[in-house]
Amino acid sequence: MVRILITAMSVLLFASSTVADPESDRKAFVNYFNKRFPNVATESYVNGIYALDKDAYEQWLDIEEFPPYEIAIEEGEQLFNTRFANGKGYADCFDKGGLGIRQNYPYFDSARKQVVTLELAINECREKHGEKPLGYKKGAIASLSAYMASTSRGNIFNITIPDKPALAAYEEGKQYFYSKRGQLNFSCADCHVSNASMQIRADKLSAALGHPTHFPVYRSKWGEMGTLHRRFDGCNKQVRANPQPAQGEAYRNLEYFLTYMSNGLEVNGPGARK
Amino acid sequence: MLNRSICTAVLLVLSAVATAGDNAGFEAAYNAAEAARKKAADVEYEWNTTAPLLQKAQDAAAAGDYDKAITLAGEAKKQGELAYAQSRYEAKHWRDSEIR
Ligand code: HEC
Repeated sequence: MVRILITAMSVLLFASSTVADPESDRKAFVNYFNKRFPNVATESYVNGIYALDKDAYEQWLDIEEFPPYEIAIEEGEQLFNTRFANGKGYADCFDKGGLGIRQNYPYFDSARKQVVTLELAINECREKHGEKPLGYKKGAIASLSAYMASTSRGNIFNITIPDKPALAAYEEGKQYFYSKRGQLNFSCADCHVSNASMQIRADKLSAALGHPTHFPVYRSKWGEMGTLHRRFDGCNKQVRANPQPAQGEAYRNLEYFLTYMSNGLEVNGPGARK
Repeated sequence: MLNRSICTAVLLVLSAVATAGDNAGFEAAYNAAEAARKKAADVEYEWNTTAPLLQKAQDAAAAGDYDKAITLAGEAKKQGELAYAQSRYEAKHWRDSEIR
């Protein structure tokens, strides 16, 4: 009897210390940055490092006057409206014809028990209609994603976690975010939480709050557009870790967690960054 | 004349044996390193410095520098082991830095 009781108690203890509550996670996340940077409005974290670095912010405003991602939006619109060989189009695959829906991605597909990002959905749409999938890091997929984001600007991120498998995917993404890796032994959080606003080599580090809101992004260093998973890839390599495949399970779960943390912020993609 | 060619033959055989020995040593070191790398890769923890080391080890072996090749393979093995240990450690401790 005593043994059963002890077992039951330890199960309870275990459960309470490990079961995630995404909403309290998110509140704690926002709170952390609000406390640390009391002069930065929560909404402005969608501007990445420019929310924390005034000088860079001024330069960035100049860049935004002639946005370098404008061409990608145009190209994306054209691609979006070009019919597939079978006469169907992207609009046939998405809610509301694919316009104004960026804030709902990534979502958890309960039937398939997996996270579906916007880029994954774009390729699944293509394959469903007999077209070849696009590469996931840059090029046409970034343009399509840029156009779809542009039609969603100002909408509020609203990522949901509908069931237990979804919660498990969220937890995996969260674990990825907080786990140190690579020869340099850094986690995402080491740079984008603990050291946010600090200088690292040529860059100042942005806060993880607001990270996904403006993707895909035109990055001057790339001289072109790139998707969020392209950025994950680069950040893994910076700490000398092997990156995971773009749109593989690890990165999709990471995106799920990271975007949930930005619930309540607005879509402002595509964006421009150094 | 005959003596000389026997000598040459013996030398050739000897050097072949020596080479084979080093090569076998390298192959063992390389295989151990590759196994350690894969163990880390299987838990998605491989460092991106490990495969280049293995490549350099192969290049050194191809150029006949087995000492260097074995040293490089040893470094790669070490990295694979450290990366795997890192994954085990993080699986236990990642919550320590969680924002609450
Ligand atoms: C060694 C430090 C370091 C680590 C670790 C790191 N990053 Fe970064 N990351 C940077 C730097 C530097 C930049 C460019 C400056 C900036 O915007 O923060 C950046 C940029 C980003 C951006 C783009 C921000 C924007 O506004 O466009 C995202 C998203 C991002 N990182 C996500 C991650 C994720 C997810 C991880 C973990 C897999 C990670 N980073 C790990 C250094 C790091």
